[in-house]
Amino acid sequence: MRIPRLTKKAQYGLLLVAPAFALLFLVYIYPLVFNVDLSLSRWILGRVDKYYIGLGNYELHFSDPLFYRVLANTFFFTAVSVPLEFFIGLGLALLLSKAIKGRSIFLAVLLLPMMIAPVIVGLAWRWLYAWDYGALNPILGMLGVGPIAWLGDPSIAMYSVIIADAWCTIPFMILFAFSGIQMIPNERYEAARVNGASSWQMFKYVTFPSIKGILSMALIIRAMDAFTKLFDVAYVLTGGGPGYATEVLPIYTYRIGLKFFRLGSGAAVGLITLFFAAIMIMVIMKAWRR
Amino acid sequence: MKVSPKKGPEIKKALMTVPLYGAILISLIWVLFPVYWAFSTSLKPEGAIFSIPPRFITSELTLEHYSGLFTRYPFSIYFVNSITITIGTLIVSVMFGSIAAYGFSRYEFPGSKYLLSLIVLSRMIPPVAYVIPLYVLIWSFGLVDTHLGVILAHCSIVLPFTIWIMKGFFDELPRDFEEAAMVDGCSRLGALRVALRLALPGLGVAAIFGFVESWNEFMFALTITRSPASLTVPVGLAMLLERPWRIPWGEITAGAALFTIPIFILGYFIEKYIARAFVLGTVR
Repeated sequence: MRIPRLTKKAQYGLLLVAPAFALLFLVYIYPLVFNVDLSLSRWILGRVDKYYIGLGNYELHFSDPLFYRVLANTFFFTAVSVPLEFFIGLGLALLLSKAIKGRSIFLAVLLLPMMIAPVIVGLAWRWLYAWDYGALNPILGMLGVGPIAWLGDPSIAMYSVIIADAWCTIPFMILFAFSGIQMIPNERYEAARVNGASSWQMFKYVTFPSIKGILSMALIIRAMDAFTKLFDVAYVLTGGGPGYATEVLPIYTYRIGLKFFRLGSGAAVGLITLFFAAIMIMVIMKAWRR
Repeated sequence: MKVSPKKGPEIKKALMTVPLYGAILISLIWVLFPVYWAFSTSLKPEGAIFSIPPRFITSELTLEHYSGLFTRYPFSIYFVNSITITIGTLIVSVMFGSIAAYGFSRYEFPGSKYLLSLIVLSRMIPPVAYVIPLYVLIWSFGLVDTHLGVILAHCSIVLPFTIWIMKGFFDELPRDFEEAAMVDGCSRLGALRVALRLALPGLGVAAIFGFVESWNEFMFALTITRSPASLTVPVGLAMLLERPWRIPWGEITAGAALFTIPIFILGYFIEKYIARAFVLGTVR
C-alpha cells in the first residue's frame, strides 16, 4: 500500500470536523459551485426547463441599459456610504477614546443600532421619512427646510437609503476604530507627549499608524457589504424605486432570480456582483497601501 | 501673587470639552430619536399616529396595536415560526460547530488549514452569490415554505460564524484538563466532553450571536417562506407595508418593538464580546 495512512490523531480530527463540513457543503459550498453552472443556463422555474446557453445570460445583461443603471447605482451607493461611515465612525471613536465621564454608556448607545435587524431599521426610517405623517419633514420645517419627498423623489431616494443604512453601519466602524485605539500601548503616547507633540501630530504619527491595519480591515468589509449586501434596508424603504432610482445589485438579483424565477439570469447577476466586488476590494487594498 | 502655571491649559481643556460633549450629544440624538419615534408610535392611539403636525410627546397611551398584532394579524404564528427557526438553527450550528471548532483547535489533519480559511472566507462571500441555487436546492427537497428550509439556509451563515468564535474559545482553554482526563483513562471523547464543559460560557456567547444572526435574517426568510406555515416576523412586518389604504404603522412599530426587545436583552450579555467577535475575528 502506497497510500499514506493518516495517524490516529488526524483521523479523529477529521471525524470531528466532518459533520459540520457535510452540512456546509450542502448549504454553502455546493450552491456556490452550482451558481456558476446556473449562470450558464436558461431555466425559468415552472415555464422553461434547464438547458445550457453558454454565456448568453452575461451577453444579455451587458447589452441591457437597465443592468448598467443598477451597476452604477450600486457603485454610487458604495462610493458615498463607505467613506461617510468611515469618517464619522473614526471621528466618534476618537471622541470616545478621550477620558470622558460615562464613556461606556455612550459607547453602548452608539453601538445599539448594530443589534437591530436591518429590516426593522428600514421600517423605522420609512416611517420617519413618510411624506404625510412622518417626523422628519415637520422637524426640518421648523428649521425652515423642506418638505422633502425623501422616498418619492428619484434624485433624493438614494441619499435617503444611504442615510438610513449609515444609521446601522456607522456602529460597525466605531467598533473597529475604537477597538484599534484601545489596543495601542500607552507608552507610545507617553513618548510622543515627552517630545511635545500636538493632538493632531499625536493622531498623525501615533494613533493613525497604529490602527491603520484594523481600519483597512473595516473598510474592506464595509465596502464588500455595501456593494453586495444592501438588501433589507433598501427593500423595505424603496424596493428599488421610485422607478429604478435605488435598484441595486442584490435587489436586482432577487427580483430576476426569485421573483420572476429566471434562475439562470439571476445567478449570472449574483456572480457578476461577486466579480466586481473582488475587483473593488483589490483596488481598495492597492490604494490603501500607498 | 503667583499664578498657577497650570491654569491656562486647564481653561483651554475645559473649553475643549464643549464641542466634545456637543458632538456626543448630537450622535446620541441621531441614534436614539428613530428608536424613540418608532417606540412612541407603537403606544399612540390611531388618531395621534396619523396627525398633522405629528405629536412628538403624547400623554394618551394605548396597547391596542400590540393586541391588534395578535387579533387582527397572525403575528402569534409568525413569532412561533421565528422562535422555531432560530432555535433550530442554533441547535444544529452549536452542536456541529462546537465539535468542529474543537477539532480545528486540537487536531491537525491534511487540509485543516484550507478548511479553516474557507470558514474565514465565508464572511466575505455574500448571500447573492448563492441564494438562487440554495433556493433551487431547498425547492428540490420539497422544503419551500417549511421551517427546515429556512433553518438550512440560516445554517449557511451561522455555522461558519459559530465554528470561528468557538475555535477562539478552545484555543484559549488550557489543555491540561483534557490531558489529565486522558491520563486518568478517559477516551478522546471524554476529553472532548471535558473541554466542552469548560468552554460552556463561550458556547453561550456563540449561541447568542447565532441567535441574533438568525432572528434578524430577512433575505433567505423572504425567499423561502410563502404562507403563515413558515413566515417569520421580519417578513410578516415587511408584508404589512403592502396593505391597501393606509399602512398600519401602529402595528408595524409594535411588532418591531416586541421583535427587538429580546435582542436588546441578549445584547446586554454579549456586550463585551462584540468587539472580539467582529473585530478580532477578522484581524487575527
